[in-house]
Amino acid sequence: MYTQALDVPDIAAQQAAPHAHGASPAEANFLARIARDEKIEPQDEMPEDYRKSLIRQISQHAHSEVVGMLPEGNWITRAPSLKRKEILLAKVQDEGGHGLYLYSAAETLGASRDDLVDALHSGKAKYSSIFNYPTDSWADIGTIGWLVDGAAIMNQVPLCRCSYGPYARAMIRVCKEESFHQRQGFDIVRALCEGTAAQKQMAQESVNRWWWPTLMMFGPHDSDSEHTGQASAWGIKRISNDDLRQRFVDVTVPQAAFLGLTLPDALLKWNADRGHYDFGPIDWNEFWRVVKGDGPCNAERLNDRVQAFDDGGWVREAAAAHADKRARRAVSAASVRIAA
Amino acid sequence: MSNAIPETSLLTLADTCLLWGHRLSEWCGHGPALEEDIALTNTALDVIGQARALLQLVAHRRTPPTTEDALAYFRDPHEFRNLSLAELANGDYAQTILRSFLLAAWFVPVWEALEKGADRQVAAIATNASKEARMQLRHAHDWVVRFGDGTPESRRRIEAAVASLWPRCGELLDVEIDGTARTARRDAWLSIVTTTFTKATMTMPPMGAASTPNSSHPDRVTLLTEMQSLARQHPNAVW
Ligand SMILES: [Fe+2]
Repeated sequence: MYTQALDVPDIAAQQAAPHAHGASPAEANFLARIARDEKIEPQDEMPEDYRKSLIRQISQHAHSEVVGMLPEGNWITRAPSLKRKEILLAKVQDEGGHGLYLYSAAETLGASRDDLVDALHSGKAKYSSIFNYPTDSWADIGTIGWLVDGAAIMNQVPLCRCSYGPYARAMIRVCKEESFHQRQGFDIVRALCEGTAAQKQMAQESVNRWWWPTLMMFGPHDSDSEHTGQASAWGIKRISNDDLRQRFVDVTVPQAAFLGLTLPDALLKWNADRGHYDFGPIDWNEFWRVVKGDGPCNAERLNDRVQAFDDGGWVREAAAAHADKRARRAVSAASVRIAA
Repeated sequence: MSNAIPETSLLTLADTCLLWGHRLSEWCGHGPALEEDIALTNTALDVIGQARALLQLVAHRRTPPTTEDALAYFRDPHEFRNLSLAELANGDYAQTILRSFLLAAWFVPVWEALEKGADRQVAAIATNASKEARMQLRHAHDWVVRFGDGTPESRRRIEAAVASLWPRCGELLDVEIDGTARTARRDAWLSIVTTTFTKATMTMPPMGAASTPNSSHPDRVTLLTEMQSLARQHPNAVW
């Protein structure tokens, strides 16, 4: 599913942009290509910081897809109808597919998937904080599709036009699937809202829990964002965090009204002067707490990933050993033929 | 509908697919590599899809008609007719793969026979399912070979899986499925399994008499308790 705004500080990767004073001719040429809206391709020259920054963002995004399989995967075995079970299973599988194409996109920049996955497992690399919240009820599966995938789409649609070709192309494919997921999520919530009193209550409680964490997915306010300036000069980030968040609120409020659900914000109201909904302050302490590892499920998520990877070690080794044996047999069969 | 395959046989097929698919779905997000996670989920989706098609048919043929979800979520464990191999807890990846291999090798000849059968509604399901089963079989076969002819550890694990699943295979060969010939099915299964074991450099254990599965089916009960929990908390709900 989702990319968290890339401006979440990552100490290791934070470097001042070198081209600000006295750009080299290569850098000037690169920035001119960006200004002309040309796509940068893997074999093209690019500044080292651009490459690093993209690897960081794309791999964070890939990790988010893979970790994002866990909270929803939690309900596959308990989905309340066979149709919902099938849809959810396919959805979680799609997220794994998104992880795959994003790791491939990162590899085009010279990163190795093993190193990237290591960085996730050691806790060095970040993934979207939204997945550190628990899925307590079936309604959360609907809410994640409707709100979380909805926010992800809002964040990712501009990335379909980002300057790095392989990332932009991966995002086009991902966004198509995400909008499908979002409709399915909305449909789950709609069925609950049209259902029994207990189902409707389940939906309302779920929206109460997910609304604020979803707004946090757009990242810190523009005034507090550290990487936005650089990322927009490089054609990676096209629209600011606050603008995306406002767009999301503006499209979601009428959807909630349609469903008969209340969004848990007493300050939420239409502002005719601005032509937008006003909304209450975000609890940034909670945001930073979860980003820094202290959310409700951070330890569990990472632990699940590490355990799956460790448990699978012997499987990957067996596959490599067998491929090796076959290759050696092919070589010796070929030399027998030559000798004969 | 004199050509109709009796419900007992259809439920054996449907329940086997459903419980096997459910077990595979437990791996989703926890597979040994992302590619495998996706491949395993493909099998899960295929067999759950087959289960749904068959349960819909059974539900439709009942008087009065019922629904696939009533059959899946509101039957008690003793009413399920699956092969016991399908309900067993996953164990490690070798055991999961071996189970898929043994079941796919069973389903390929079953679907192929039903595809040509007189019950055309079942034949329509079988036509699709037999293509899917052949793909599942190929995927599982490849892994059994890799494990048998991979590292000492993978060899040890696949042999342990054979030891633990083999006693369940008698049931698979003995079960009656209307519209299929038991001897032909048995020969086909034995020939597929022998070929794969040979490629995996493993010896096939002798086929003993079918052991009677634990009649209380503890793994089936655990599986269904989880699968049916939410649906049964809200018996009148539509999802
Ligand atoms: Fe995704």
